[in-house]
Amino acid sequence: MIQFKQDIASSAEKKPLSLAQRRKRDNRRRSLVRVGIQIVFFLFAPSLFTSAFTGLKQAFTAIGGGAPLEFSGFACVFVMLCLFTVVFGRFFCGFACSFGALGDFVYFLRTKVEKKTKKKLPRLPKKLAGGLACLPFLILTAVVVLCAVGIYGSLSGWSPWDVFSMLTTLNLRLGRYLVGVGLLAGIVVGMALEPRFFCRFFCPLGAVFRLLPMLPWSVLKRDTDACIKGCSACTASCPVSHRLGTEENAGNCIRCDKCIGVCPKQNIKTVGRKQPAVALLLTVGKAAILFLLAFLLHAVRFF
Amino acid sequence: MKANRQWMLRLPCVILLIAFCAAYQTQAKAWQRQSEENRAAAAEVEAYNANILAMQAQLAQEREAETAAVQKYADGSYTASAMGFGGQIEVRVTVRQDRMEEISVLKHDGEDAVYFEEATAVIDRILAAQSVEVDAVAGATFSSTGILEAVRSALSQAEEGT
Ligand code: SF4
Ligand code: SF4
Ligand code: SF4
Repeated sequence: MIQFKQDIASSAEKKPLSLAQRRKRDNRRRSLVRVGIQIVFFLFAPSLFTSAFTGLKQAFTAIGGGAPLEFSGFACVFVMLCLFTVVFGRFFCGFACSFGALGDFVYFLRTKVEKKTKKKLPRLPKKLAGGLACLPFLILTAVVVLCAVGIYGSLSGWSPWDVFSMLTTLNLRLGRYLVGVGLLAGIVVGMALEPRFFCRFFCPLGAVFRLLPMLPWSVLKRDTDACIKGCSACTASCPVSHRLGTEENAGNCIRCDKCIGVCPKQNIKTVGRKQPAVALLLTVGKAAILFLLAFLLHAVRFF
Repeated sequence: MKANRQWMLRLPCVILLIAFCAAYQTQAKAWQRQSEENRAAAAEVEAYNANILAMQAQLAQEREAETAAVQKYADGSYTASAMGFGGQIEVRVTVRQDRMEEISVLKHDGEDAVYFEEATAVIDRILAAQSVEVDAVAGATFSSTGILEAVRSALSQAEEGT
């Protein structure tokens, strides 16, 4: 916040900043806005993720039992998030999901520790990470099948998501949930190993989002031919190691927009790439729309 | 370019999926109607049987007229609370002539609204069954179990009241 004020002050003085300084400032603003949005959603709508996932599970439980689909509050949250993702890309994942925000936070702590101790902590081998990337689809399939045959309910003590959502309401009666607590602890450790560990290797809801037909204009584009030879700065900065503009599934990108400010050639095409203020405004606008939708579906709480 | 291609590949898939859901929905509704009709027919038979049983019971009761009818619950309204998802849930149960007439939730501060709305379905189940031995609402287990427990403890007050 203090940094931000200084930024404003210095721009008021109209001292011309060098290009590098300006980019540094823009990047700082961008991450401030992102963290701010993440905190707001974490505090006021932490259950969006679990609600949507419950909606999906309910649908498959119904189908397995031959019962009609119900338009419960959970199903509405799920459909809303899917539509939002189709229109804006995975903005929900990048900015609003409480589980994703937790991952970002844990990894942020890791980088702090690295800086303090001046030691590099281990990361997963690249090959392994690449192979694990299809795990979410397996988990999604498993959950869906277990719901459809009707035994998911008896495994409820296993779900790390339930444990997490209980913790966000400060509910500490976790006796029935020992397996879930163990899994959650393991996931948190993993989050310190890799950025967005859960999103990339486990999240079944993310797997659904990855398969959605996002509108072409909501997908980040990169003209690989115009890239600096040998450069891969954007992929290196990407929490999900996404290679923009290649054959890789564009749905893997969680629209965290971290790569945009990194490219030395401004080669990642998005609205407002040349006017950072416009881009920030758009980000805040999207967050506001999502928050409003969540509010309308009663998924927002004010303590 | 690639994004366009991806979109055009996936759009038909999603349309197919939605069409499937719609088709499934009509089919499932038909099944539901069918099973409801079956259940209604079964209920008719059961009601007939119950009628006869009741008549027999009445005869038996008249025979042992010496055993006076005892009320299980004292009439009145009882308030009790239990732990829900994120806090205490307080309910008021109105009992008249051994029947739960009305259950209202007085307080549910700790619940997330979307969960809580789902959980209130359990109240209808309790009233329909006139018993707290009903299933909790799937997906909102904690909130609905909280309501159940609160009603249970209200009823035990009613029992003590007799
Ligand atoms: S991938 Fe899953 S956990 Fe990660 S941000 Fe998206 S919904 Fe949340
Ligand atoms: S490609 Fe860019 S916007 Fe997408 S996830 Fe990676 S860093 Fe974020
Ligand atoms: S950072 Fe820019 S120049 Fe480098 S690979 Fe990414 S898009 Fe190309």
